[in-house]
Amino acid sequence: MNDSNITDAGGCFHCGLPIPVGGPVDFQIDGKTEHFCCQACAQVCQIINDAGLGRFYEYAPEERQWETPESAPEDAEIFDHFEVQQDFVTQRPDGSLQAQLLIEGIHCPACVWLIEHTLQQMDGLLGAEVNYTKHRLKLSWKPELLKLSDIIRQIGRIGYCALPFEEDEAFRRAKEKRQDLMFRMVFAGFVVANVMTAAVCLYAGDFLGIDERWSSLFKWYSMAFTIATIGYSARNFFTSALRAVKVRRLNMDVPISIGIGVSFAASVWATVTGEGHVYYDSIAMFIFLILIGRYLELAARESASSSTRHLLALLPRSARVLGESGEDEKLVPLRLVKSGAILRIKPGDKVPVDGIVISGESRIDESMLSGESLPVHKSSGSKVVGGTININGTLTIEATDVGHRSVLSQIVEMVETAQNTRVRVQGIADRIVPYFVAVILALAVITFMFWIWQESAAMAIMAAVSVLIITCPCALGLATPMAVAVGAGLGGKLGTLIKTGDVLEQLTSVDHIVFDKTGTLTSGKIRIHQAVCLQGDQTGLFSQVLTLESHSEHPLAQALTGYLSEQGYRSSDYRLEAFENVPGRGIEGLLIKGNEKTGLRIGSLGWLENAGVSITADLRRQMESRESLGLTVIAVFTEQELLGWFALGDELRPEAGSVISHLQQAGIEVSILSGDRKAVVEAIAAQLSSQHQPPLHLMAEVLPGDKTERIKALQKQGMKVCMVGDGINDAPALAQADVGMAVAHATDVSAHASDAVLLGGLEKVRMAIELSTQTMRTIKQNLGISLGYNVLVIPLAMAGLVHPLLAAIAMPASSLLVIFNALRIRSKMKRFETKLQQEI
Amino acid sequence: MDIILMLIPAALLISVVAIVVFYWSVNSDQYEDMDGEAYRILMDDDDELIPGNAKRVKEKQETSPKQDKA
Repeated sequence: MNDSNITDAGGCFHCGLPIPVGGPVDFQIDGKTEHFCCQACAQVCQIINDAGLGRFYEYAPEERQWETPESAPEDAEIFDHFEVQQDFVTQRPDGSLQAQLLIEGIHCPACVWLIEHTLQQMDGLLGAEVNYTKHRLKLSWKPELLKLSDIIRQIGRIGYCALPFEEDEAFRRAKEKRQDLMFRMVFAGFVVANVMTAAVCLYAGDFLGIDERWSSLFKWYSMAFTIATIGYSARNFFTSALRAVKVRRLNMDVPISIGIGVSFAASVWATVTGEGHVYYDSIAMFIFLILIGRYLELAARESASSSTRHLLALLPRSARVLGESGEDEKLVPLRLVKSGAILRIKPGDKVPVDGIVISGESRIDESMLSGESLPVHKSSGSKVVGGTININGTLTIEATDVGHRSVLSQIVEMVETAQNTRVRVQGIADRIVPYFVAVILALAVITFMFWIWQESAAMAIMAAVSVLIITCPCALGLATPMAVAVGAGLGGKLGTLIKTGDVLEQLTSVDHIVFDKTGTLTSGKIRIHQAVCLQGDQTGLFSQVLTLESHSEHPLAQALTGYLSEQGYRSSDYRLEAFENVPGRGIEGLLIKGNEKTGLRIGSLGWLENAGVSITADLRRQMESRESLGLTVIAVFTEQELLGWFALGDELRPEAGSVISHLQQAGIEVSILSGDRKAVVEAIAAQLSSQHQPPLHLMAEVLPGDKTERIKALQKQGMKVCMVGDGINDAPALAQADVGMAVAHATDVSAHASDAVLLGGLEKVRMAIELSTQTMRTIKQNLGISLGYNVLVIPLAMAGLVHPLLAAIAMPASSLLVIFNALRIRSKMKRFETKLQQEI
Repeated sequence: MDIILMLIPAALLISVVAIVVFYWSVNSDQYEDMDGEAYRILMDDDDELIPGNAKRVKEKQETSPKQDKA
């Protein structure tokens, strides 16, 4: 919604957005007149109220700024097909069906309440449960009473869009992994509780005296539990450590396994012989804390990745297939479409599969592939690509590539290759581990040698073992996961969804940021920069333009009509005859008002020249200078003369300049990457760099496929590259870059390919960098804390002075210190957020 | 001190019960939505559970216009 459109009527009753200048849409709701911003909001509100669920508005946040209500997908019936349902519906023994739907348009907990209550009123519905975090609806219903499409429609009526959610293999595996980790963590907690009971008795006995009989009982009791927790909860540490050692690498699990193994062996020895100390409590606590850290890390990572949506949504789910006769059109599920099938594509449809046009003429929006915002003209013989959008004409196509061979699948494949081949940089903790292990082993050997020389072998073994036990890799193991878990969790709240934890580590070392131009630096919305009337009556001319343009569906025409009607011009004065759409050039028509008739053409400069209309050199220079500013010029002319012209273009996001200058101040090089003409990119750069000194690197006229190459070239120069983009054509480049960030409205594929998704403006790039700086700093502090702890206690252990009670207190204490330090990231980021808001 | 021979098994039994309950709760997907439940409790939709209200609420729903009007 445009700012200039706001009246102070207090916003829409439903969505809270400002009410446009044209005045509110008024409706009677529960006996009161309420104002709405649009018909859609009013209808949704009326339905909600009629269903007796008006309380929704009491639960919804008062200060709301929702988007326009979603609606049900048009082809909802397709989900009633048996073949389609096979993918996501399961049948329960009692005959009822069960499915999960992904719901778009959920903005607050009240939405959850509304959806559940609306559905509960439907006959034949057995259960509806909305997962607020994941925006998923779990549904069960009786197929003989209710159709799935009716449910989807009903959800659509109250302003949400529901689509089947398919649990794929990766998703199921991730869930299993998370639940397994959860079980192991809780089991470790259960063991800690029991072992600790015994440990308290043993420590008390150490000071107050205890019967040999009881102390032995407690030791055996603890041992039984510790064996269980090592066997179940800590099993994965050992297998992972073993795997690492086999390939001659050291990971975090190696010192963890050594710590657990040595402590356990020493404790068993002490239990059996009745000599020396037992460390069962420390072992159990150690395992528990490490698992908590791992779980939090996993949960933080998962919540971020589940918020990026599904790839499949990009393709339509159904196709209009023509029979042999070429006439009977049938809506068929996409998976049943074979190559060679004849399909019809109506205006507004998504092209379902790759194919060749047999008949018909239309314009197709291929921006998802090429980034080119202007539609491409297609006629018989042209190739069309699945997922692109048909704008104005009806096409008949023959399907050529379906499924995995389609262009879209190939892009997805390219993304996956780039992701797999990218070298994962080792985390900082993993880099320390080899030294840590080496130093500890060396110290243990030195201790052993020293005591065997000074005293007995028994004393030497005791001291060496206590060195290995007390050097707790626990804090070291938690240092990174805790910081990453807090950082990634915070990212979601701050509008920068971090998908993998190592992004936070890598982002700090990024020294080159590449911005995609269209849709990332610019808003992707076309605006009118200049409207020129060359002669006579401006109101008359612009009203005529409005009348003519309102019959075209071209994006430029739509931008123009939007602008003109906003300026107060009305099309009602004129009648239009003989309207014609001249593909690739523009539109023409006869405008009639009373006895006055004007034949008007609106279109490109190329058309103006071809039509032989003469214009002065001065005028031509004026228009060409606008083109060199990166704008598109549209001429309005009759058969003889030029009457006026418009300059239209994409607008820079307001925050782009300040974000780029801040990044440059931080010593990061900034590039602009675009498929557009050089002049356009230069013009954009000129607008951006007027505010600051260091030059921007420009990469213009880059073909979609070459974006990856450009990123690779930068990486070859030794630079750490972060790419910020949105389109499908950016996806492989996003995956190739060291860090890929997709902006909010990015297509699903690029959101999938990126490491982070920015919800909001470009200032979130700075937010992400600050978050990673803070996280990285915390990781380093945490490593410092854990190494500091070791420096303090190792001399004690080497001197043979360590009592198990010291280990039991010092080890968890160092871990807790690390955890609390990680939590401090929150307050630091909150401060940065306020600072950022003040700057904007 | 011999009481401990009874207390330990008792403690053990309680924690085993706790762990079984936990396994059940994880397997019935109760940890899938950690944010939603916190809000759910704030929505007072228990009107029909209050004796005397149940009838009125139901009547209101039945008299309300058909939903597929839009």
